[in-house]
Amino acid sequence: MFQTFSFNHVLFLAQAGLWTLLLSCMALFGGAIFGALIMLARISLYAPLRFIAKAYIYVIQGTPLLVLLFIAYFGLAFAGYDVPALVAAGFAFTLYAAAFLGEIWRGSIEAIGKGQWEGAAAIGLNWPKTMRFVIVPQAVRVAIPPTVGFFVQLVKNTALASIIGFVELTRAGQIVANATYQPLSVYMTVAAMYFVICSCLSFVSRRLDEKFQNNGVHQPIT
Amino acid sequence: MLRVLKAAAVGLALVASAGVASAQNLLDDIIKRGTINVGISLGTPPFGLTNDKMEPDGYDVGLAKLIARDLGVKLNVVDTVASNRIPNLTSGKIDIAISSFSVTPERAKAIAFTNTVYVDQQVFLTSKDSTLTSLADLKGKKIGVTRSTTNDIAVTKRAVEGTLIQRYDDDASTSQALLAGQVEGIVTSGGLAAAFIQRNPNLAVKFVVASAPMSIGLRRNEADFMHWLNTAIFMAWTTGEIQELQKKWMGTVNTSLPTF
Amino acid sequence: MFYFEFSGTLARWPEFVHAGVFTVLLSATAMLLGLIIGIAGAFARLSSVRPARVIAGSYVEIIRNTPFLVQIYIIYFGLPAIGVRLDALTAGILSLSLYAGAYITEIARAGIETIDKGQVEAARALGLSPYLTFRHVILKPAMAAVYPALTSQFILIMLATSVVSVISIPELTGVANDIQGLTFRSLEAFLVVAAIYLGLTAAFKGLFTVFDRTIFSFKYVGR
Repeated sequence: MFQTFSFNHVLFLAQAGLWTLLLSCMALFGGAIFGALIMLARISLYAPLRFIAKAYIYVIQGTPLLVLLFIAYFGLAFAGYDVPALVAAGFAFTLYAAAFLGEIWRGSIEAIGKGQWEGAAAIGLNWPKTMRFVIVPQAVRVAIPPTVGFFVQLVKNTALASIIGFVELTRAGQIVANATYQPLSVYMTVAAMYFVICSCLSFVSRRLDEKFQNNGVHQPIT
Repeated sequence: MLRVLKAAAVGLALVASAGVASAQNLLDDIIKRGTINVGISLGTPPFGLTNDKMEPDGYDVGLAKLIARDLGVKLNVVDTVASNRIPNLTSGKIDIAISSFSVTPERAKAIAFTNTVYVDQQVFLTSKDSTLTSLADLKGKKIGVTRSTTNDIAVTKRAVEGTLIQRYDDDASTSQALLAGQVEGIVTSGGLAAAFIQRNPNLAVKFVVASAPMSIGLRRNEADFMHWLNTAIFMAWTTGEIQELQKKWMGTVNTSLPTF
Repeated sequence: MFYFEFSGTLARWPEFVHAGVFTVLLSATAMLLGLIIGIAGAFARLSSVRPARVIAGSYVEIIRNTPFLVQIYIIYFGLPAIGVRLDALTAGILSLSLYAGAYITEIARAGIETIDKGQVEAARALGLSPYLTFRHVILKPAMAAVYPALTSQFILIMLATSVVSVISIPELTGVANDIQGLTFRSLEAFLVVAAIYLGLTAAFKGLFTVFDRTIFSFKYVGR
């Protein structure tokens, strides 16, 4: 029964790494859709909508992700929705990502100068058209680097899903550490895998940042 | 604040009743579905572990395979850390928990237990040359235990004042705390301790804290499925399959399994 | 059918209070140590000594590109393999401070970069000692410039303390976990701690606003 830390285990960890990536992508995708709605509500002209979005962001950003995860995990099921751990974790991370992406994107939209709005109004564009043809295309350049940066946070934070028993990279590391009794080598390997994924993403984020900043649009402080 | 919570509770309760209404008979549902979701902690050898082929294995997994075979359905093992066993059951994430699950009257208020599948002891596992041989010796010492397990309940109730109980989220963390020397010893199940000693001869069991029967956990109000499970356990004991599993994973075989 | 049952959870309020105080102390310690590490790290990042730059740079990259949970596991479960055994609280504070330090290094660096070299030269020419120059001309304005980012980071550190429950530190999340194990009311226990964390976030934010007014009062002169 005693196993030594071997290549088989590394393969097992790498496989679990794919689950980490899948969960991160689910969160990014779900968070993007929901986050866009939050962003729109946040910049809306309708005060109650702004208030709801603001309260939502305040609650999510003021509660530890681990606690959100527990609440989503047990709450969803207690509410009668029987879903697998991946979906429950994906749901919690979606709620989390939406709050942060909503704020990042609001910052990007607001970074676009007032003159652009006035110019669009002057040539007779209505609000949706101004957004679609004038503001969003410019804001995207501002928004992409911090969005990729946030994706790094997401990948790292999916490690917390291990605590509710979802077998991703960190939980797999725990399983292997327990079977081999070589926690240092196992966790170092796990850390190295995260490092490879995250530093590549960080690098992309920085490059995009440099590339887009040359266009004279300034980065919002998020 | 309370009023808001109450309003939220009523709202959630309505949603909940709508969701649960479809589940009529769990036994029929499982057979119709063709899979049974079994909660097992895979960080708890010899009960649940991942073998060198990276598949779930261990005593609990062996039992789960017997149950699935007898039901004629596919087995889906859901890795469930100890503190999530009851929440996972009550929330419907798993159909049954076969996860070194000790019977306690407190737990039986929240979920139901089948007849016993293994009689285990809660033991104090420490290094061979340790001089800690009774609960009284643990005063001022750090000892590890997995949060909200029977081991936790047993040692919390019996420990003398001044014992520094460190609680970890699952058995994998607890055993790592022992091996990393973060605690003087751990209170764990006898089966787990035997597996440890086999792998690491420097460890030894110094004393027994308590003894407890383990069984399969399921949701309450599932009398039909409960009866089926008890039948399956009875048959597996009669044919000697349970004894075979106990010999393989625990090294010892219970002389009999208590029933209620 | 599901219903909420808060009475068992709320009856354990003394445990929540105790754990809440513990979380506040733990957070404050980590913020302070993280700030010290971060300021030192920022100067190392901007130093003319290459090894200092490389070491500080790698530290920041390694911490920022690996999960905090894995860092805790390495420090608490892994390091004993090479003879470094830290108890849970020390390991928890160390990992929190190292984690905080990496992010604060980058924030503090951005702050220091806003300081015009001419300011420092002027201060020295006016006869200000190197210590006073550092304190009043470099550090304070630099921190004032990045104060909003710094305080959001502090809040994130407070929230990150929830993760150290995994190595048996009895802070809020760990206590919620213990309580749900006894009451079997998991959702209630976590809803209660979520509310406590929200309260703590609000309290810390308020405190930081007060700090801003007192420590960086020069920002408000003449406004």
